Amino acid sequence: MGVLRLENVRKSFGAVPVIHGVDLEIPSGEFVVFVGPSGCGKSTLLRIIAGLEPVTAGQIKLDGIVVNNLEPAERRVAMVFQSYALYPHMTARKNMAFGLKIAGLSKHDIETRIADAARALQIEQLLDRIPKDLSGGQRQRVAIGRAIVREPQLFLFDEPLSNLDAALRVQTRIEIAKLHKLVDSTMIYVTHDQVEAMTLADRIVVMNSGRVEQVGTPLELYRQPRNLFVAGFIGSPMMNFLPVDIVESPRGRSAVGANGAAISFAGAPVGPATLGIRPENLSVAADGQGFIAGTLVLEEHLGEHRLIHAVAADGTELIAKLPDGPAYPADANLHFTFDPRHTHLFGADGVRIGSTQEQGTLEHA
Amino acid sequence: MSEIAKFAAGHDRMTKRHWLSAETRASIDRVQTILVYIILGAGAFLMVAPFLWMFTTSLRPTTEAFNLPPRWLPGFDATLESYQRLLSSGVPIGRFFMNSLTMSTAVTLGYVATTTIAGYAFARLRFPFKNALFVILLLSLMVPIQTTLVPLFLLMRGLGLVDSQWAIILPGLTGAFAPGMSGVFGIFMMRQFFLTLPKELFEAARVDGSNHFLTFWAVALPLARPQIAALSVIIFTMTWNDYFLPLIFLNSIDQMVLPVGIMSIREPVGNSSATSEVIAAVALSILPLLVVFLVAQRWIVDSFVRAGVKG
Repeated sequence: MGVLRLENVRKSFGAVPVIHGVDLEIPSGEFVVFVGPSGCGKSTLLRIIAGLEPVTAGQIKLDGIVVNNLEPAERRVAMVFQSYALYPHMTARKNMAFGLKIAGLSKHDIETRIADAARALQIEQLLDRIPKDLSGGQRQRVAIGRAIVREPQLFLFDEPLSNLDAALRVQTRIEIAKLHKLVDSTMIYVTHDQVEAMTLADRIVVMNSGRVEQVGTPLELYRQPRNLFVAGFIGSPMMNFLPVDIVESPRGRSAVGANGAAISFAGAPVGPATLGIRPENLSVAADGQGFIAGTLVLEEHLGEHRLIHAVAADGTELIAKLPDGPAYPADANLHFTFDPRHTHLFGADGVRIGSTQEQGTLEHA
Repeated sequence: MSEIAKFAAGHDRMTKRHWLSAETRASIDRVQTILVYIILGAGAFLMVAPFLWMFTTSLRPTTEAFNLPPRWLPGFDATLESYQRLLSSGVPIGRFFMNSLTMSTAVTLGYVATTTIAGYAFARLRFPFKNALFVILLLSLMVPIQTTLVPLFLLMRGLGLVDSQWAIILPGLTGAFAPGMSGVFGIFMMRQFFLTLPKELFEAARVDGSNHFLTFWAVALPLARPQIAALSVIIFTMTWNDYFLPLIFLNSIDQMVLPVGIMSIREPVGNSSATSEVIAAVALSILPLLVVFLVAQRWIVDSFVRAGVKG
């Protein structure tokens, strides 16, 4: 088991509210990632779930039982910290055994659990070393081992890969994904790295300023972001946002871009809106074609593809992700077009109106 | 010239000694090192000289005690006469020694235990008026020890503890009136150390099911070993050397401790001709401190180096 339910969870530090009423249900065995920019409240929410921070209001239920006033150990949660938080004076074995001894397990059970976890994490040969004598990756594994041996209902990870180098981060990420399959427990993982979120999560919870902006599978968030914030946060490089005006025209309601090109939206309200296009959906059109024009600012060649940074006449910054090819001349005036099936329209309030996939077509004049 | 050599040469020109040859620069470095050693050596000699003089004088006849220039080394004609005279003088130096040892050990153990716990509480626990209490504690540093002496004396007299080592040990146990050192020092030192430990360490212990006491005992205390060693040495030394409190509270020769007891040597032995015996007694009295320092120096240095690194 390990069904977590948050009901209108609020948290304030003094008079400053940091979590503004979060409702969330996480079924048993699910891998959920909290993602958001620094200061969005994701770590605070994790610490509230862990029992390290009291809630100001609302309820936290684990398997239907309100656990607001229970200590972390009573909630049967285990946590892996960003800084590993291994006890520096204890060997890896003692680090893993500490919680089990407190729980009153027999020596035999403790040894068995440590041996099983060490085998799964391939740290058997490290058990008698103290943290100082372990590398960052090894420490992280011991920290994960310390969590596993307690056989918790809920695994909590607080940015566990932040202190690792890029290569080790990818490797450990894969190991955490394998671990989830192995232990099949509910896991909540906090990160500001959307790649970790996209690759690890069954569902992602996008947070901003103490509020949940959207909950969904990684592809749902990528394909159907609920608002401008989610659209901008998920996807790298971030989505391009073009300010447009939806107007009545002989072709119905549409937004008119450069060169007379227009994209029509059947159900969109008349007025200002934002058109979102991911960099990978932008392409460079022939002169005089395309929906928007911009002056080339920077071209980054990344091997298999390149990133074109341009700025439109109204100051809108554009990024296009194109297959690698010959460089454009400096300050070139580029015209961009896109596949209308992969665009997103957001109203003046920043909330998604729909995607042109359902309701729009791009027509060049 | 390779690109790397060119770069290295260019970098070298940028340094201020680029016009000097490599040999000259090496010579300058050598001279600088020698100068540093000479200065440090002179400093070290100034520190060690009084001790050296004391040990040498204790091994010489009294008549040579104030010779100028002083003798720094005992020489082949060294004699244990002063020690023999001291031990046969009837002064219960052994009793003084044991009294000092008992008192200093008891005060040190009590002081370190209570200030460590208090330091941990101020650093890691949440309780009402924590900051206000800490400020009051710091303010108490401003109260001179002499102003509290009379009330303390009256208190101890009321308890019937005057002329008993308990008069010094009891207030010392909590650092309330530790000889020469306020308890606030220990609390402050340990609090500052516990504050440098990462918060996550304590949270990890909490997630593991540990309560405050177990976290203190199993996590915080082992990490504080260097600080505890340093604090213990400081308190032991201060208590061992304290003259003021024993002079006030202890009267009988049975209760006397070394610093006050040594002064009484002059009486039975006679007069200023007892200088060698006094010096021999002082030499004996600092031996335990030397042992404590030698044993604990690694931790002491470690504790101060860490304090420096962590700011």
